[in-house]
Amino acid sequence: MKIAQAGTIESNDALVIVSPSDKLIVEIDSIVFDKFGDAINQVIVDTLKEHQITCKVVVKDKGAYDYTIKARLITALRRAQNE
Amino acid sequence: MSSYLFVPGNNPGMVQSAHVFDAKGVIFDLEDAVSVQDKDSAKDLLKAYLETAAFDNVYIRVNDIYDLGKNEIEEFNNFDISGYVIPKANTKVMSLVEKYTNKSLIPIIETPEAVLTMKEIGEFDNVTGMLLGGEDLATNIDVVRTLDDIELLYARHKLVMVCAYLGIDSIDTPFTDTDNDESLEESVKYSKMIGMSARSSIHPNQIPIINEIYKPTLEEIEFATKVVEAAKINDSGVFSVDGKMVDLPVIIRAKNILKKAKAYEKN
Repeated sequence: MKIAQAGTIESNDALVIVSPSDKLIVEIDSIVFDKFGDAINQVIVDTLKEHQITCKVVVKDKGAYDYTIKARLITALRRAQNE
Repeated sequence: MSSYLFVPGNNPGMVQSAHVFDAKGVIFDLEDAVSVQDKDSAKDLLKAYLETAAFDNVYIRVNDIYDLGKNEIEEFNNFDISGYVIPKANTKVMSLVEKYTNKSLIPIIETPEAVLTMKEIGEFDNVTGMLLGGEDLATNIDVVRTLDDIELLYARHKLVMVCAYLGIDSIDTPFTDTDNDESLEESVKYSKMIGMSARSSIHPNQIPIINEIYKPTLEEIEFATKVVEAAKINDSGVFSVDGKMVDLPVIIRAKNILKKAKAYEKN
């Protein structure tokens, strides 16, 4: 696995960066962290579990819906494994 | 409604609000509106979105069938979408696409070959409409797009005739000058006048304008109502309403107008 990213820091989107790590690390920088920080973390943890991957995930969220964060993570993970 | 809205497949803000506009169909675009490096993320975004959302008349414009398009069709076949918009359509492309999906197909007529073989393209089983791709067609015949689309005259009129013959939707090319509502109105009026059943659009602000122009006018509805009522009590083949001759084609047209007006009322 290499470092890879997907998404943007445009409104309604999220930039998701994944990198190798032996343990799960999730860092979230969100404009709606107080209200949705836990939900974003849950999306990340659930998606990683689905894909059976442990790594570090950095999320720069600009108000993205759950499915957008999930999609950006899936793309970043695929890119990390392919690139 | 008589409008189709193209929505860039990798833009979450636009994807999530696509259903709120009053378009007859939404076309999520994986092709021209998505950069080469983001083809994968657009596909992932649309899949994640379609897992959570459901609304009618959703199409996906896939990429070239000889490139990414085949896999895209196969990957979206399990989603609840109406079908696919097929770029660079010709009879070979359509016979391939037909093998990959049973969903509805809207081929884009955007090459001289496609203009000349429109009928054969439209005759493929799951084709429910054909869309004119004005930008690509203009490039392919080496002309510049003008506001009144005079360079597309033949293709537009041929599309109307072929689609009417086949009983499928004729969808006019998007009007790409998004800051020019006045010319958009003229262009859409022309689409309606020549018989295009719908107009496609690349900007949500154009949708209300298109719908409003396509909506039967009060005058049209009033005249159509008079014609239909008069037809009920008139045994002779030809009669007159408001000084205008009415025969069977006029009655059929009047009924169609009332049907359209009802459809607009429901929305």
